[in-house]
Amino acid sequence: MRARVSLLSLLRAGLVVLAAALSAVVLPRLGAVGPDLILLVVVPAALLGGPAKGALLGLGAGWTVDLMPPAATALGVAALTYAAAGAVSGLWHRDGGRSAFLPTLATLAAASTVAAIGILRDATRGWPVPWVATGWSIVLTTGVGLAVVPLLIRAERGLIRRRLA
Amino acid sequence: MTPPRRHRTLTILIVVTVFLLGLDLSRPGSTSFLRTGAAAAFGPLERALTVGRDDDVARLTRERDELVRARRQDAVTVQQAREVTAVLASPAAKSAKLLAARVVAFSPASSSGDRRVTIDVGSRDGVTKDLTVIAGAGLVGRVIRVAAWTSDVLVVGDRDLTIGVRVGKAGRIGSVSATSPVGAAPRRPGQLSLTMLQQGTVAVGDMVTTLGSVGGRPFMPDIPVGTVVSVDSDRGQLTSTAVVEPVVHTATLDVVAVALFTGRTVPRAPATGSVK
Repeated sequence: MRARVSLLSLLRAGLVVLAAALSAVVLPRLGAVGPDLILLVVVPAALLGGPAKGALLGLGAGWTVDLMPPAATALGVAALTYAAAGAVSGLWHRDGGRSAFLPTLATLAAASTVAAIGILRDATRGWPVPWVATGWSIVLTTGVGLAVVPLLIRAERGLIRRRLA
Repeated sequence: MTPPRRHRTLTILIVVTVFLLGLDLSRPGSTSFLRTGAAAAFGPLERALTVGRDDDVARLTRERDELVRARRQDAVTVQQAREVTAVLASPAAKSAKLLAARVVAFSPASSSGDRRVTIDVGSRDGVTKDLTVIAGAGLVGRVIRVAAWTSDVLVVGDRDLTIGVRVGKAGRIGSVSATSPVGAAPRRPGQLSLTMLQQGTVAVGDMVTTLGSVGGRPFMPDIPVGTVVSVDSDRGQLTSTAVVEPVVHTATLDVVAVALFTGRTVPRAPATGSVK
């Protein structure tokens, strides 16, 4: 196994920790619903690397979310959720594809995956499902992703070109 | 990593995650070393990210303003603890030592049933598990996990939290939780459900205060929880149920206090009965 830690993986790990911390500290103070910052880091990697890579990063990012205090009720739920979202958004991976449409579709699909798992979790536990908040979360994530995802893809492509990945 | 190897790694990691999830669900506490370790690493980061928020201070309630002012002078002095105590009308809270704290992180909005916050005091400040957390208006919740510099608090409105309460002037006993009873009218988000021990003993406007636990853990007595806003109609259920509006708004929590309950050390003197 090539166990060399690249600049790109360091950047992704840093972004994941920052996104998880911001979603715990800053976003709840701004409003009841906000964009899913974790997905905005997972989706670019999945688009560049495919489903397996997306799922791997999603799993790691989800574990960060699970362990970020106040830690969740059940450890591992966010990990599996984001792994699924990473795998789903990786389905839009194309070799050398530079479509402006793919990132949006992949973000929408990933946000919908996270929302669907959340709805399933609430429904099976007999809790009321927050449909409106879930819808807004998908819209906000896709909207912010419209700007952030292509930016991150460009930055990561630049690192790969300079052999820093 | 070559693709087959990556798939193998991914499969192993997912299996490990599912195993840990099962372990965490079946034996709560067995994975606490993971949470405590992560809290020790991420807690200081969350504390650092919480900077001054001038725009939000304007929205704070009067009680909280007083707490903020007290907080700014000095975080953990006894003088400030006295000021925080003065804000609280609760007579029970006056006998306890209070540790002022600031909320630094919230549970993600995506998890609808979870109401947890992280506060910026931990075991180094003397916080231990199952202490009561209060704000100027009333009960916030109880400490469920303690790291070196931060603690996690289970807040009123979390599905896992049930509080024994006294209702109204007569002090009738019931319990408050976020789970609505079967068949009752749906509650708005943030509202709580009150279940009385007896039928027909609750009225709109009744104050709901904590009943208190043995040794003041996890809840000290006589701390306001909320007000009864409506009583559910009789549907043939065993006891009365009602809707409670909590006094503390968890979405805008900022300055809170951990009540370091000190049990009494002086023995109670017996009294002699006097018949005239």
